[in-house]
Amino acid sequence: MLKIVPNEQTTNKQEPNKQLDPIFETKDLNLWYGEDQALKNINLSIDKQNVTAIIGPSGCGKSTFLKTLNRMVELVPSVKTKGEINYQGVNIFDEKINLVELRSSIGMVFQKPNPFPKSIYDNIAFGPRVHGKKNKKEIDALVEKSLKGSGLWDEVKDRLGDSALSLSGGQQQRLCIARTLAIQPDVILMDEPTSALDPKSTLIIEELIQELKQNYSIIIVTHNMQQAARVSDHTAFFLNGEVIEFGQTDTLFQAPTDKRTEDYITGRFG
Amino acid sequence: MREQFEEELLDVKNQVNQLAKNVLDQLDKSMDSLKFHNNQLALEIIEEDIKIDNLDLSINEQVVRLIAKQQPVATDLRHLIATIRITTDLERMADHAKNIARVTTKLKESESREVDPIIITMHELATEMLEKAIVAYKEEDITLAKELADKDDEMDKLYAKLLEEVVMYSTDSIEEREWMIQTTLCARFLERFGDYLTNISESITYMVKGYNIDLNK
Repeated sequence: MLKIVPNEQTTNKQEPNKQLDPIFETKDLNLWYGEDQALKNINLSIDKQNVTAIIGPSGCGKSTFLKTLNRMVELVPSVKTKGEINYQGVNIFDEKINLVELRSSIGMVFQKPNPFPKSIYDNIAFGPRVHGKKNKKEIDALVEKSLKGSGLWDEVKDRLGDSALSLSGGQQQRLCIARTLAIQPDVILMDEPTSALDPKSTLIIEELIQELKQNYSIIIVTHNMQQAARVSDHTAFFLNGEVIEFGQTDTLFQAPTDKRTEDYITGRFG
Repeated sequence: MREQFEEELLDVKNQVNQLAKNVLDQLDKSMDSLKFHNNQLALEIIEEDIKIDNLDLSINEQVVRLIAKQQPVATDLRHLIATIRITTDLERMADHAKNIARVTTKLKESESREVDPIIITMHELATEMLEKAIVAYKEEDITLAKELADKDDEMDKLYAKLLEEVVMYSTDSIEEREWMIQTTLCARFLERFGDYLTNISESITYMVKGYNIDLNK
């Protein structure tokens, strides 16, 4: 749990807090795209097996923050970072860090479902194969487990050989979640995972998030404030690259402490 | 969307203000009916109560519609939740004004006496508290809300004092005894008025600050 301040109040001070069991702790994290600073002194502590929502207006740095957690942001050539992200106690910017291992441990699901133009089965089996798994039985078991984990198994078990592109948008997104689960991560980063989906598929994904948090730590960027309120345990409000307020979702949506948070969540700006 | 929501929220607040003023009016009239044994006025109050019930219902429906359509959070949500609580309390206060009017209708003219000064003071206090509540709600003034809740202690003391008087009072006149019983009931209705106003004070505090406090102690 993110114990930010006593009395379960939210806070606008980002002092590093003593956590019982954090999965991520960022310390004075700063990030620049060329000359433009996108993240400013981020000090957040994110707990294991929780859902943490990141909200804020476009361009506030929330997606950048998410992509920094598995260093995917470094695919942009001009990126420069300063500070630390301790993942399970190890700084991910340490030169000894193996990026492939890091990214297999911290999976990611994107805004638009992006299945490979392959069969449903091969979409799931792809990751484990890349990571060296060859035993068919083992891969079969992993495909089944992953599809069950994403709630898709019953819908596709009889047509695993069909093209993934034959699935509906909501099913494709759950396939992408299953593909992430197949590499057996500890963390799942979700970047607006339902913004391209209809309400029913959105609801299914939200329910899935609740189930997945039993075994995974989930960090979700969302533009949908009600979604953040529904699915997350903790919420961070970003504005202009800074964390303005961070705390229990219940408190943040009922009685935020910072005027800027209040104005944003009530739709007065952003 | 935001502007429309702001407008509707303001409309809700204006209606709550109107409801509170109607309740104040009903209370004053009910006490007048008792003081001057005005049966006609008492009947009008009883009849008017349905309008208060309807306004309460209409505000509540509007709040539910706003919640469903706008999915408000934070201060907006608290305003609406507080509004539902406050209008419910106001509606009950109006019921007590109606109860006082009913007492007037039950008393025969021969039973009517001068209203005990303690009850008059209780009425003045209830009026002062309700007027403060109207301002505190409009101005979102939690200091004033606390001030009005503190007044409830005075109300409780006055009620206790009246009960003492009644216990000590002895008379052989049945008419006088009837008057004592009925007006003591009115004092009880006024005392409840104070409790509801304390609830309203708590709701105003919740609306502004986002936490619940219990001032009804």
